[in-house]
Amino acid sequence: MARDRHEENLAHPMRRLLVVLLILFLIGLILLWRIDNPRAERIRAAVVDRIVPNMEWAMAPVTGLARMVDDFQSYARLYEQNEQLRRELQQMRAWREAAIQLEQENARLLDLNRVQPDPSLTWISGIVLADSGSPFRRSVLLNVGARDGVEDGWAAMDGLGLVGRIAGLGERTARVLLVTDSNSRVPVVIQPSGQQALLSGDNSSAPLIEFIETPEDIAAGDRIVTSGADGLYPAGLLVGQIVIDPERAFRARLAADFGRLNFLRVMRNPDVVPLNDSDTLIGPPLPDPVIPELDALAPSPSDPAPETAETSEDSPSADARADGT
Amino acid sequence: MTDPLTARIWLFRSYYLTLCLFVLIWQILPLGRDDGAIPVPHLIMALTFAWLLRQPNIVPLGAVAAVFLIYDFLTHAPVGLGALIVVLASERLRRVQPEVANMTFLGEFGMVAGTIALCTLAERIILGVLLAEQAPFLQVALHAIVTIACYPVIVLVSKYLLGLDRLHAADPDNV
Repeated sequence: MARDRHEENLAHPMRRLLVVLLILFLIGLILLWRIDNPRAERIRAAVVDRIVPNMEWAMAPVTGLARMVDDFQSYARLYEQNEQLRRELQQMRAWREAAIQLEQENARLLDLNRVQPDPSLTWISGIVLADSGSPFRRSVLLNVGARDGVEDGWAAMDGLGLVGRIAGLGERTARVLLVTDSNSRVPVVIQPSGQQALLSGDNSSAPLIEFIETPEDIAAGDRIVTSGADGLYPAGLLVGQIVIDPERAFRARLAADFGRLNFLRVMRNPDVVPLNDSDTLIGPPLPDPVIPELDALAPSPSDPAPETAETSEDSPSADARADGT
Repeated sequence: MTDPLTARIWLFRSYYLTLCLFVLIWQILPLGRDDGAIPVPHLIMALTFAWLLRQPNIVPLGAVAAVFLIYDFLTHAPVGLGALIVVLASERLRRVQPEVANMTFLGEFGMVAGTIALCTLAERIILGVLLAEQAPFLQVALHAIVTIACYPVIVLVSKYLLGLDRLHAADPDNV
């Protein structure tokens, strides 16, 4: 008897219609997400913009409490930490002397050469509001957005190292795609040897370093900085150090403290062209094709090198946008 | 309107929404926990299935769709995909709920495990058809396994902490 009523209830035509409409609506959303991704991401940014800042009253105390618990746990190791800090402080004093001398020398040399520091590299500071909330994506949400002058594609750092770039912008919030995300590709240069490589995230805490020309020249501990080759990341931002994993692959130990991202700096970069249409790429505009017929042909190896380099390095970031992951 | 059964249903509906909001907030807190090898289970999915198989009325279709759509939006997942799959799965479970209500817990657990596995598989297939980028298979599989493993815990918690018991087909309030 009850069972009959149950079936009857489920088979009610009105309910069926609603289910079908709902499913069609969701399918439409998925297709919109896949076909016109920038628009879907703008809708997402608007939704996140609506929801997350309004939940801050609930999230801020919990975050604070959890961080306090974290800090409290470290009291257990207070003595060892104290010893370690003393040792480090001793070393730092020596470094500080060296740094002061170098700073004075640098100031003298800059003065001699009449160098003006680049005024375009200023930043906007933001507080991390939220995580990605998914085990497969590495991104954080900042409390600054379009109204604070943030634009899509700008790089984000913590005090020390590169963290990621803006991918998704709302009025009051901005999403930072971390360099550890599997969609993140950053052109880098490895310091003493000056080799170009690609830092590609794989959802682990130490991203892979790919496309190294001569791996023999690279040792663990080498510094990794951004090369600026894609026109997205400014050149010379510290990324981290080389480590070699058990499978003999090069990875980056990141300089930024990804365990506790709290305040981030969004580096202003006037060269980044924002992505507005679904068929454009992030990055500097490509030169216009001269002859349309040539466009249809497969790109020949004799294409100018910088152009192909830009295209190939842009496409992963554009893919990241296009996939919305 | 104010008979005890309706009041109870609405009470549990509000519990459901509050719990989902809670889990969602907890998941997106910026604590940097998810660097470990074991991913955080999909608690909202397990909760939805557990409650749906206990009392379908307290997990209405609209609530499921809204919760998972917001979840998709906030977790930077493909928009609407998770919601679509869970809505389809929940409709299926709603249909078989009277049979499941007479099974042992093991039978129910097997049913839910199969559903979660199918959801994961469906998501991968749809993303594959759409040629979209996917997370590595191992991570996704591990996520599904962890979610399945946390299902009995959620059932225990909702039974003994919230007093949400299984509805038998013979019960008069099985509407």
